[in-house]
Amino acid sequence: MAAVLGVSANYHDAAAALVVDGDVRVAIQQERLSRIKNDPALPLEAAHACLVHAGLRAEQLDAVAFYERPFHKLERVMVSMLRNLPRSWRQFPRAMASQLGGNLWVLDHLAERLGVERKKVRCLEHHRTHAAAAAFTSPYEECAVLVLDGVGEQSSTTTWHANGTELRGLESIDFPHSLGLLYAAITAWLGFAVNEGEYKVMGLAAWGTAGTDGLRESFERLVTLRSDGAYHLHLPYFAHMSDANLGFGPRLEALLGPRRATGKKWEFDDPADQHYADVAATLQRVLEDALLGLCQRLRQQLPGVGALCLGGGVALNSVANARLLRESGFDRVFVQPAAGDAGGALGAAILASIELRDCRPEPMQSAALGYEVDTARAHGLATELGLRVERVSDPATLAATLIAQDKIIAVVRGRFEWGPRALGQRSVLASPRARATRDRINHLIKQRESFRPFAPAVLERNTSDFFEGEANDMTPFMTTVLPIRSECAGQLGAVRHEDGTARVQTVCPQSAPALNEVLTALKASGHDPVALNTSLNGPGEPIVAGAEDALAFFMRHKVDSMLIEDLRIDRPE
Amino acid sequence: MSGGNDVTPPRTVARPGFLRRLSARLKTVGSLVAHFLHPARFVLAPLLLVLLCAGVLLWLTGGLAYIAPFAYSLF
Repeated sequence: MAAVLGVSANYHDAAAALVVDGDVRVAIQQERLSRIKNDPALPLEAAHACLVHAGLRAEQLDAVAFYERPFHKLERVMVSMLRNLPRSWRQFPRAMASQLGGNLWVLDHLAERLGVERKKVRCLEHHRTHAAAAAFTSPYEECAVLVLDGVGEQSSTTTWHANGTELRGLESIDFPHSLGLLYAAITAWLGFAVNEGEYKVMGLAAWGTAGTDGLRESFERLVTLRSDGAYHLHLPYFAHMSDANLGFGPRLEALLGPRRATGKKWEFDDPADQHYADVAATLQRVLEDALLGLCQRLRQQLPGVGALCLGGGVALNSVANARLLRESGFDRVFVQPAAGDAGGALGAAILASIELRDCRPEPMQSAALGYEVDTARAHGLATELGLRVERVSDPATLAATLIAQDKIIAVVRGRFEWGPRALGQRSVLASPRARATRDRINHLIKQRESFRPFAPAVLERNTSDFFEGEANDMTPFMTTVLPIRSECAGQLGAVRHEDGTARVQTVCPQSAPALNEVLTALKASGHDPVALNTSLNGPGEPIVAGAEDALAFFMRHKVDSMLIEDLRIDRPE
Repeated sequence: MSGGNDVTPPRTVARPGFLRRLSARLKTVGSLVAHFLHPARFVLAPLLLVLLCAGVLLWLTGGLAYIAPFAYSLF
């Protein structure tokens, strides 16, 4: 019986997760509280919020587990810098600042800032924490696990066998060879921000054609996929070993063409932009092929195992996850909603909890692991701001009515989500029918690139009425895509991506109770039980957490109405 | 408006005294040295020494706060 706090920090997506007696009680990303997107800072506010939610004091924690081993990381940094001299020389001062200014002492800082005895604070292998977060929140007793990210301490790709509470490492591919860094380099080449723009590249891929104009051959010069499932990058094209800003070198530009200017409007009639889309499509195809190769090897090593879990930032590639479910040979695939670095906090907490002889958690059924909104505070703030506030008896039916009237509504109900997806607790909801709705949301709120899709949420039992296939282990968390049935294309015009798929969320009372009520009310009133569901945030903002953030969002963005639990908030007449 | 905020702010944790913090840092340095005493890591010892000296200088001068996008791959 133990209380363990897991922490990820010091690069991006800092987070804290609390596991008590083997139960995942609460998990919060620091950005939701600090209001700094992808905040890397030591997540003291998130840790405090976790403790408050569980009614614990820091002194009552049995362990604090950090998601990375600082000495091992320092070792890799030193070796890498030596190997890449003289190119790496200019990075030396910054490397020192990062390592010696924070990373090396992170366990001391955690103990001092949280008020926990230093001997209770420990660190765990980065990829092991990803693997634990993936496997030990999954519905599978036994599974294969594939972890892929930029790089952990040393590894960028690892495979594991999870059985009960055991997690056995199988193989690894080490830095500087990394599919995550390949994707990041092309993301930067396409003019998007690394660690944020990868979703855009995935969306852009649907607008291009993989392998055209010799791009397949060009990518064969960037990365070799071996028949045994391993891969290696051709390093002269990359710069992630020696340049902290860009990730690719002049040879990559000589191979693929000049990089795209950041922020330039996308015009697919322009051959240059079509070329960039083709590169994105080819990258996506190469990534999927590499993942399939790795899965094939896992199948050979674990012949009796039918389930696969994925972890690490690359596992947030929902298009690749769908292909793995179709073609990898595994019957079931699971990706928990915070598969990136934030998820390391959860994995670290679970691993330390198991080491303290607690059982592994129950399978994750909902991503609502944050805290609830304070409605009294929301009421007070809205009144102060001169907004119209009305308490309603049936917020779900009201939401359904507004959606059916083609209104765009902001919904704040229940505990906020864990991970980068809004799953109905902090969402903007709208009708999925008209493509114009998508343009309106983009104009009013999101200001996204025109090629990026919005996602639908559908009642789980009605999934196959609108999509090819049924709900699976990933669909409650929006970590995969499904094709839209051709006869439903007109009904789902606002959420249909260029390739005919959608990153669908299937909804049931366990996964998202409030959204389930809304979709049920839509169905009861004779409408399709589907809604466009996008995150409750503006461009560059973290998703809303509490009452203040919600009202700040409402003041900044002209949604038609906002529901905060049973409060309906509208602008003055 | 900012801050997300339906949770009371973290209570201020009393910072341990200088000697206690120094003791914790020295233990960390000891663990670091022990890590690099492994025979396979002997070759890194000179660089580690330079690092530690640089670290002291950075500590004294306030260090650098900027983190670039590919920083995790480098350091």
